[in-house]
Amino acid sequence: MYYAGENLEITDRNQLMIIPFVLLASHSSNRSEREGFESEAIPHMDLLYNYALRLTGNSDDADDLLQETYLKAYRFWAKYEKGTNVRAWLFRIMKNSYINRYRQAAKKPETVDYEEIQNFYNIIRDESADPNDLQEKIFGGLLDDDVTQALVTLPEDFRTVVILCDIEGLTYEEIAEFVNCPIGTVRSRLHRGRKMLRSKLFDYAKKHGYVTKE
Amino acid sequence: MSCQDFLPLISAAVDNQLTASEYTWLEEHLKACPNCRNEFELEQMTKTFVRQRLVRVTTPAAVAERVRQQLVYESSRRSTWLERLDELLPQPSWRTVLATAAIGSIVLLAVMLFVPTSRHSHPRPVDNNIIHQTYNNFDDILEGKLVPTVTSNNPVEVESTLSLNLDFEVRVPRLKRCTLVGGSFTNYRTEKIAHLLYKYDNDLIYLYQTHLAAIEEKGVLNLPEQAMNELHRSGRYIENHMDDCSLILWIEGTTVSVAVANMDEKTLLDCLNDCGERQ
Repeated sequence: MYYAGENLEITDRNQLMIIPFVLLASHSSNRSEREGFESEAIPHMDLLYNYALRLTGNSDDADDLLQETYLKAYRFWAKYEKGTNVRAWLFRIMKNSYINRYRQAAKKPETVDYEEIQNFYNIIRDESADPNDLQEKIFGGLLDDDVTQALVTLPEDFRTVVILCDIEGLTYEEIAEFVNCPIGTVRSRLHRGRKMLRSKLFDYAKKHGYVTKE
Repeated sequence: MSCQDFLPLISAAVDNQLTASEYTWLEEHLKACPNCRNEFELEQMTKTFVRQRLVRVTTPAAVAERVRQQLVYESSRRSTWLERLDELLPQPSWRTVLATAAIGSIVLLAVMLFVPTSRHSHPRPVDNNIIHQTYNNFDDILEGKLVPTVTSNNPVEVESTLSLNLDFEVRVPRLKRCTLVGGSFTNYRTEKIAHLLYKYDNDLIYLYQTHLAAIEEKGVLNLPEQAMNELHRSGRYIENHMDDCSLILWIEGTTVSVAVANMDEKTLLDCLNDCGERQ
């Protein structure tokens, strides 16, 4: 209906500078903009959905997070530098949305309870537990939901790398780009993240009575 | 190197993300260190466990569909000429804005959305759209960097100052429940346009006024057909985009005025009530 047009000449900055004209792109150019966005962004929906699912731990929140991410991405589409990694860009929007909306008073990575992790490590060492045993006997009885929730208890930074590496199968380079950190950080976060997760799983297993002391 | 230093390498080894030399290095250590070997196996187990239990899914069809529909809706909303300020982002340079080519006819549409300072921090344009550049000016207005040529809450004073610079009889209406802030003017080609600013609670109402000739057949400003028809039929054209953004266009004597405000049309109409009646 309305067409973009020329702006008025800008007068002295001291005056009210309103440029009362035109503004809109026509209908069809909006549709092609949307189609352009869709062709680039929709293919990554599975990655984003899975990330949302593992980040939030439940499908309702994941659904909302996905909607919010795509809407924001579409609104910010003009800001995206065409040709750069769109997947990483979308991912960052989702991560930030999550942090702004869903984050509970989770522990900051720096304040992770290392003692807890060390203790767990010692337990395993003392029992000389076979990792296979651990997996089958101790973790084996856990429900998928337990595992999901255990993951959710991890601080986002650690949760993110575990999700991207273990579930999505991204390389460290890809992860580093998404998360915007050096590869060395990816490595150490993965290590700590997995360790924390093991510790959590062990806790759950204990609660369920799968851990027997002999 | 202590075992602590090898731990991140162990992670990387589990994921096959080590360089060849790192791999050799680690292998050597693992041969000699049962603790780290155990750690390696534990970590491998954790990874396998997670992979098995938390399987990657495809996005449910209903969810995907919802995303698509939302994008369509958002896109159609943008086809209307006013956009919400909270979609705006850090600004482009003036150069990109001015480089926008005119595509079609120019429409007299005062597009000004006023942002109550409490709601938005820095709304800024995102693309080459002129209206967005206007929003830039809002920030300046709210921050006091841009001031009207004449700042006065007295309509007569504003009228007389502006009339000196304009080639039509400017009428500064009294709006209900509003305080006049001031006025200014700009030139567009052969036409001069008056700008009037009013305050309504925490919101602002912007009013443009110009000679009726500007929107007529040979005028420099073209309204869309729909607006013209409605204007000729009832003397008014109202466009309501969302609950918080309205535009009202009307003719009075030999001038045409446009009011734009960050409020719903009913409220705006109510403020303007006195204006319309003078026809």
